[in-house]
Amino acid sequence: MRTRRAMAFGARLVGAAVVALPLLASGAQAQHNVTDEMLRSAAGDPNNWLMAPGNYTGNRYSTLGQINAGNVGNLVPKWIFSLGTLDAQNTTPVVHNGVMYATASHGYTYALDAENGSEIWSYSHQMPEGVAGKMCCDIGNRGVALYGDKVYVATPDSHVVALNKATGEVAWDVTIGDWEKAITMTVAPLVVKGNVVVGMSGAEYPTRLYIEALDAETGEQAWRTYTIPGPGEPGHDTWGSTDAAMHGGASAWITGSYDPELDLLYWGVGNPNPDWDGTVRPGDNLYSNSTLALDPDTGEIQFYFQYTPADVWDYDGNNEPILVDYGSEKVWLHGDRNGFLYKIDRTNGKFGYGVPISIVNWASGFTSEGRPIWNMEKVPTYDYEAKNICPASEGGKWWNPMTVNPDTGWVFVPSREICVDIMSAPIGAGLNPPERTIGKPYWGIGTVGWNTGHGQLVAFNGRTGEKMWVVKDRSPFTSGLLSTRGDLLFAGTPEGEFRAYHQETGEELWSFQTGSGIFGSPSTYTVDGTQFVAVPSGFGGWTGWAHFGQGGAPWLKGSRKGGIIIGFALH
Amino acid sequence: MPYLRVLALLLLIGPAHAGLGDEADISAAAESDGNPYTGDTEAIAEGKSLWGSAGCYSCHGGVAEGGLGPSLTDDEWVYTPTDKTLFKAIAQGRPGTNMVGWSKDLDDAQIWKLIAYIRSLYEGDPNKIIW
Repeated sequence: MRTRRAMAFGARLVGAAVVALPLLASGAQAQHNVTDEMLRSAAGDPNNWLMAPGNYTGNRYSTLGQINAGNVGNLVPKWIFSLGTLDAQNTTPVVHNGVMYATASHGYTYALDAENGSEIWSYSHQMPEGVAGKMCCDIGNRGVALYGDKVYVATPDSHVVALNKATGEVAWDVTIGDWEKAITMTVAPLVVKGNVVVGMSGAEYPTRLYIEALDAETGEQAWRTYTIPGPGEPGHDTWGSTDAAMHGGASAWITGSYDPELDLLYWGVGNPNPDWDGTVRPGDNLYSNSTLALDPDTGEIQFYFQYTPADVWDYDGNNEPILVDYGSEKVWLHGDRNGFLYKIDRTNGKFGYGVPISIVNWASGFTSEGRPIWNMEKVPTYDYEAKNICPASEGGKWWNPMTVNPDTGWVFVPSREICVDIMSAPIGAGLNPPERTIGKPYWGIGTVGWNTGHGQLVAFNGRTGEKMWVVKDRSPFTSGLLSTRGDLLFAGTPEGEFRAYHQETGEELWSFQTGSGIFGSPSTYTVDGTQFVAVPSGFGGWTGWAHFGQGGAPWLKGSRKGGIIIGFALH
Repeated sequence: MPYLRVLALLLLIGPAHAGLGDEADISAAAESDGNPYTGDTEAIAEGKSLWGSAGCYSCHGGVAEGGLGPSLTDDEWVYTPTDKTLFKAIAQGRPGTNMVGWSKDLDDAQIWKLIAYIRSLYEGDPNKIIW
């Protein structure tokens, strides 16, 4: 076991056995394998939270209603688990049979008793010194995947590690990227048809990134799909040159979704590199800022939809596609950092609608195919500072996942109204390096200043795109969201407030101060018939938007860090 | 409106990494506890260039105002910010945080110039200047 706490782990293994036996003896929550069928049926299994997005649709919705709009005022913390690290706590707690599996910043993974928060095992991935210096936006992690008798985690230094689900022992550990070239990982894996699917981070650096699938049993590569077409492949010519294409970033760090019926895997792709300078990569820059529909067996791209071609605002379209059926209409919903909520036909990638989540002024509308029509006043260049571009790079909607209630079809979006002034700069100027260098950040920045704004939660009728309500708050909503059949919507803020809102009205029904900012996502499950809601708390991640320049939310500067998961249940 | 302003054109970094120090060298440099470039206009300009090229801005902000990492322009420091402390933090990093050591990328002189640049941005209590 390669952990920083290897010596302590022996004792922990003994402890784990001791702890596990009473659980088994009580018959409460027997350990057993997670199967393909269980993953396909996760939406109908509210007692567990089997994958980071909740289920294959990615809707982060639970049919549990024990905690509901009528009694949520009685929700109290039942336990607190210390993650043992500071910085970005981006995980979604995953739960199976009363055991929670969660990641922390700095390479930690834990199994804990989901009823009382006591540790069962821990795994600390031993990382090379310096890896944090190759990550643009903190050394966080978004959670684990479960399959068979294993837990899967992606690490900052681009390993995918399979752990024994009962003990935390390493089953296999494979390296799929070179962190020294700033190819890193923060994604929560998704297991589809026996393959562990992950995507790479690193588009703030000259990289060419990819989505990769590994055999869940052995770790052997099943396929790798580059998010930028290579020479001779369709789309390669959308970069202006092979040199630009082969260093164009296009990350894939948000967990995708899977439609078993269509047998299609949907996965987001992020910004081109350099982020804010399009001069060096003339063209649409495929498949940056797109959602790809992939054959899960081969990784072959079946079709795609691109949200922001030729991005010069770092709109980074990684964000999750949530699969929703409106009658016979099969779509994905996607809240983009470019400020629009999209409905896309998931059988063919055709544009349904794009409606503003927040103020949008960089585009004046869409062509019939969904291509945005640029407002040239908001296009920064080397000698023109575009002022008050709305939204800023984080949206709109930032990476934190939204939620969809499939019963009502409503979608709830964590959002913000923050705009930005940008001037781009060529290599050798502004904050850019003197020459493009592998492993060195390259953002294309001349000047950039975020303008002070506010946060908001926005509810839409996902079928029509009609905005149903907006709740404003001082700070952006930085947690992923959770909706339940109890009419509740859970959301967290960077100021540490964990809140429950009524889905229909947006009325705030309950709140709890968690002590540090919430940048991960809540989940819900039951143990012995009791519904729990768990949320990580720990300020971190890319927070330049809060402070740089005037600052989007300057009161967040110097926010206290933390690292806990809290388990809530009714009093 | 107070923007994060950077020079439109920064100085190119010279042929770097010559004379990169091993740990003993780093200690020796740090033990000197005196930055030979403090207040040196040319060195500060080079330090500013290094701030961009090394990517310091991605954590600490374009002008060290703080972001993912702490502000370096105020007088709120966990440890007394002597030259030696700053040198060691840049060269060797801070265990348990995102601050990694940069001694593989920056030689001793470059680290001192970065510190000179950081010092030039100071906006804290003048009575707390100890460099």
